[in-house]
Amino acid sequence: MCKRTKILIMAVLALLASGLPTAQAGVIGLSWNPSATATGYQVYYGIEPGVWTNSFPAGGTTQALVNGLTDCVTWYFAVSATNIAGESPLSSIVGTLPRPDINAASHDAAMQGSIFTLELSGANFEQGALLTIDNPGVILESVNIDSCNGISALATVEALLPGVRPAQVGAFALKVTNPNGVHGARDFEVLIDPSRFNVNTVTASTQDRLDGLDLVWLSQLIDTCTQPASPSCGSPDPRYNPDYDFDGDGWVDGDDLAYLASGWAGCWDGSGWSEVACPENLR
Amino acid sequence: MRTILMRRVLVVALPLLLLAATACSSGGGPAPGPGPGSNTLNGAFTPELANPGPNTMSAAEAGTAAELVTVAIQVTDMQNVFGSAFDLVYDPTLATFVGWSAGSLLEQGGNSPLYQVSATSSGRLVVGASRSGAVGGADANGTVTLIHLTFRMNVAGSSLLTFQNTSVEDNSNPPQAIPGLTAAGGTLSAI
Repeated sequence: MCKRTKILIMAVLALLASGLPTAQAGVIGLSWNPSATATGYQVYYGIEPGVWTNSFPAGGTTQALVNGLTDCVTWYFAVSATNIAGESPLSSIVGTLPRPDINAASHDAAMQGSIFTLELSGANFEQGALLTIDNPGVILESVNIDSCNGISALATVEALLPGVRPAQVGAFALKVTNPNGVHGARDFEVLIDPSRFNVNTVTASTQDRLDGLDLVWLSQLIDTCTQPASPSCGSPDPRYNPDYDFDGDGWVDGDDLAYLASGWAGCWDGSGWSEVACPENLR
Repeated sequence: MRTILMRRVLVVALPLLLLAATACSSGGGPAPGPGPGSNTLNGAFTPELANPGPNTMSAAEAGTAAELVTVAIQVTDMQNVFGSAFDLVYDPTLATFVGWSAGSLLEQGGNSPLYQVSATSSGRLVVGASRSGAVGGADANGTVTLIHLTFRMNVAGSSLLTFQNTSVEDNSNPPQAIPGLTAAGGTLSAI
């Protein structure tokens, strides 16, 4: 007697929050619970729940990437399991905008110590979305979802004042995360503020030049660190001074020394350190 | 521990690398040998003070090799020296700075000092030398060398080697200048 294999009903369909291709609009990732007896899955989708204008076989995997979706439109998805016995009923229905896509920014980089309005354009920005960056020294406030295609925020890149740890320099992910957890990202670079290299400003004769006094002052704090900051900082050193941590990595170290050396014997000309900016008696 | 050791290496190595990369007329390690065709010059250095007194930073001849003159920058009878900053001014048509090497003063107790030396185009060496980290200062009992600086004499003649903006700093946080410092240079010459 031949016994037919039953198909289990799909229970959960979810959206993939990450793992999607970058810099691409009209995309969403789906995942679903496996069905024990399934040999394949079929994905259905459309812009009205239950009206499936599109479908495709997803093979035996439990994930699918759907692209070519119209941006700023809510799409609905359901999945069925298939095997030799036929096709299961559909899973629960999930509705979502395609993944947020930031395709342009008013600022792709900013220097430590700056404050500005950051404007992002793109697609699929949902009301209630969060705008974040994985750099605690970059503060994003007054975030406004202007439309499905635009976000604005007030951005502060520390340090605005002495005694505050500066934002770490380098490239960091700026993320728009919709309320359902799906996010898109774009790189944002924090640039070092070289005007901070002059740590000794109290010695009148050379206060405006990068020289040995700055080296001596920095050397005394070399290898001090703070937490939370650098994973390699075993315990915070009370002597750590953020004004000497030029690159904001939580350490006063050789990197900061190298920044000081890069402007050695120079005076500040408004944008950098140069010998010709020094008064005659220091050249 | 490994990270800390790596940072120590960086701290010591970076200044040397930067010197090599950014200053064609500077660099640590042994002084270079005589240049081709220049073996007719013989350099020398005459100190302003033959016997420096307490609380003095001074210059003295540490060696010569044809047109190369190595000058020792010395500290005499000073306690708790964490670092020093100074300029040395000379005639760039007569002499060219070619390199530096560490002295013994700042290495007391196994410390790895930091040095930074660059020459400007107008004949000024901007020098920084410092112990590193949360350590005490070094004591100069008698006359002890802070750093060696080597010059190549370009033509026959003489040039004053003069200290400016000279400071010796203690290990306060931040470091403070040790008061009462006297600085005495000398004369570079070539015949």
